[in-house]
Amino acid sequence: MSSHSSIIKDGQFKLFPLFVGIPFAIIVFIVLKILLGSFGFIPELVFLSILSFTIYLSTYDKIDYIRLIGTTNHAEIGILYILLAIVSVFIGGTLAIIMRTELAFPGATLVDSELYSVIFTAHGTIMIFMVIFPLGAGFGNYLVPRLIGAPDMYWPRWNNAALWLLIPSGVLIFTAQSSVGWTLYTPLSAELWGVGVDMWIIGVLLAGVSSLVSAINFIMTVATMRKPGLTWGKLDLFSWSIVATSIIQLCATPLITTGLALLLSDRILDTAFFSAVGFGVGSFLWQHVFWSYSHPAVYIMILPAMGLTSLMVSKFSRNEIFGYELMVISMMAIVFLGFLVWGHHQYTLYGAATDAFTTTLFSLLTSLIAVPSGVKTFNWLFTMWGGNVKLEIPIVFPFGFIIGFVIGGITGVWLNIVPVDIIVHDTAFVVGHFHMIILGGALTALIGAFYNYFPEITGKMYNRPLAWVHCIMWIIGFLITFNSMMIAGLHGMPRRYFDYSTFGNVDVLAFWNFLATVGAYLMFLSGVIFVINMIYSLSKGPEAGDDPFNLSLDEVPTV
Amino acid sequence: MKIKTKVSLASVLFGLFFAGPVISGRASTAQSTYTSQIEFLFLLVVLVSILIASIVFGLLIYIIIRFREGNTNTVRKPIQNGMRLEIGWIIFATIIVVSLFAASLPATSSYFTERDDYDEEIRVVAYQYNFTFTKENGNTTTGFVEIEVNRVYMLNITSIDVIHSFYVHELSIKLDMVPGRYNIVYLQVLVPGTYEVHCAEYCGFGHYIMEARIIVK
Repeated sequence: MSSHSSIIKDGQFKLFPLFVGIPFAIIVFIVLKILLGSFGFIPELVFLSILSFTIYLSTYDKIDYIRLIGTTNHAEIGILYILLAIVSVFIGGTLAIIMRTELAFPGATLVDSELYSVIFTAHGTIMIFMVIFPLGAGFGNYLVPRLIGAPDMYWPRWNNAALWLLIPSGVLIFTAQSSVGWTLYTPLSAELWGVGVDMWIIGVLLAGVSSLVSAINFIMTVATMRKPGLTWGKLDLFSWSIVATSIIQLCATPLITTGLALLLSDRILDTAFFSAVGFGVGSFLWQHVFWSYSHPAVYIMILPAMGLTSLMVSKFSRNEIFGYELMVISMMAIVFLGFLVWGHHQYTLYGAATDAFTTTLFSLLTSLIAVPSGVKTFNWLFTMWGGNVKLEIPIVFPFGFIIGFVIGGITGVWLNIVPVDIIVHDTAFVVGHFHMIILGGALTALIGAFYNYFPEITGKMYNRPLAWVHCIMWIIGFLITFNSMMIAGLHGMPRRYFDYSTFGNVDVLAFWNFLATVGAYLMFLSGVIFVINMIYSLSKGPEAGDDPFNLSLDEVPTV
Repeated sequence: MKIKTKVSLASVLFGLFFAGPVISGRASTAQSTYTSQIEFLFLLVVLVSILIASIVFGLLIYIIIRFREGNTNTVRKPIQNGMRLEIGWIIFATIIVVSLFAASLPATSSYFTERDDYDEEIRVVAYQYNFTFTKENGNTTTGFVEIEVNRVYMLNITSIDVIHSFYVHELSIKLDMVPGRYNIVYLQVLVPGTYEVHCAEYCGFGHYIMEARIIVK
């Protein structure tokens, strides 16, 4: 079962991986502590998490750490990416829980305003660059060469480099304590004193390099290393989604790289690319540069999840994917339109003094992007039509994906109606919508994929009842949390507020925020159940065998 | 028949789930000239959403129930002529989003059109962390402004340090306050009262205390 991956040996999952970077992280930690004096909350949290994870991992012996640093095996690199994401998601999740606890009741209850700003910045960045991106790249690495019949990636060593570039990047992002939000709107981010923002920028630059390298690698792999007879028209949808993701990364990442480099030069060299205030040009330019990367970036997050959903829905309903050509076309339409819609983040930027043309044009283009998304949703549903749907965890999580994606997508349409956006822009509604798509959609599908490949990665089967508990709690949790956040936003709860006790309708806001907090705890608890399940199954789980889900593999696609 | 009942029940449930925001969300009266247009669009988009969500979730539940493993009394036949269905929902989705876009155009253009028929200009300047209002007669107030009901005001807003956003939830107004730039929004309040202004764009550690009041007499 495990011929493709030598992390696995004797049915024992040699987890060590992550942390070749740990000694490095500890050294950086100590050096920074000496240099900067006081550290603060998030770095210590990260430090403690990594330390406890190390202690846990050190109970596994017989792992060739040195070899693992230089591994070029695509499956091993994929698993390392996924482990990095699992550690990071708990750090980011803890930060989210702190924020939700603070917001559960009006008034300052847990943290102060400065720490709150640091926490929401760190939460956003960690979840995007250390969780969702690595999960996409991880499953891409793990699956794409197998799906296209290649022995490895096109540039195996660059592939390894892309992984390890994320470790210094992660160290910088984890310890940065930037407090300007992940959007870094200038002039605030250009003027705010402190080394944190600089560290953050350098960390994200490194993550950008990593994602560029892996994007080029994926495109080359799929373009040149397909097995004979596997034409583009027969390529599976996950490889297509990774190609689509890579195209976006390749075209969009240079924008943010340039932007961040210029912003860094604004901060350090006192240039005025984005800090120029005449007619607001500097801040306008920054918003355009930032969103022309960051809007396509949300498709980087969601496309791999879409590809995995296609695989899993088709596998567990034992049916061919419905409307293959249209699925590919709509994916490419999303890629293309994704580059043209960034202006919908700026509907409230222009007042009556500007002509409405720009706003209207972006609104029209953004409307159109709902069409391919809707097509994909219907095609997933009809893939199951006439099939024999086996209700296992790896297909129930994609159901969660569809639920989250539909609710998130529909609220995306609300946000695109300009007058409606004017009320809900920059409120908790936007935050709820975004999380509904990225957590309720992308992350849910990726968790399902993890359950899907867990038996063949480790050779052990997970505990099914615990997995069901995780799944149900997770889906109910995100529905409660993000719907409540959206409703709070409709009541006028602005985002990035640490305290809302001065509002006139504070009791209404308090109710919805409290409900959102309850949901967040539910999700976090289900995540803990997930980890317990994994640790338990690694040591005591039953052998998985060749067909862990009893699908009678002969009749179905093999992945 | 049984399945139909289940599906319609499920659709109703999901519909109610979406109706939550409608019932509780913005149950405000038309307090400014923008509000009525926005309320109409909001209602429209919520109803369309309920329709779509009911279709999708109803279909999801129906398919899971009908084609689950172990359900012996069903015909498992994949769909023929898939292309016709696909073209069908491409057209369906396009019509829905484009008509919603078209429905939003009048309100959009009224929000973004420059007007000459205002009665008074008020300059609003934001800074970390407060708002200052200057009327035409030179009166400057910080943290509140007194205006008259039914009078049309032109708010000429800007900022002197970082980006802020002028957000009055009950009057359906939100506009970014960008340093170095004057943004314009027109305000005509129909109901006397006190309305809260909050900053909606993150502007620093004191973002959450940045607020003002519009007192309408």
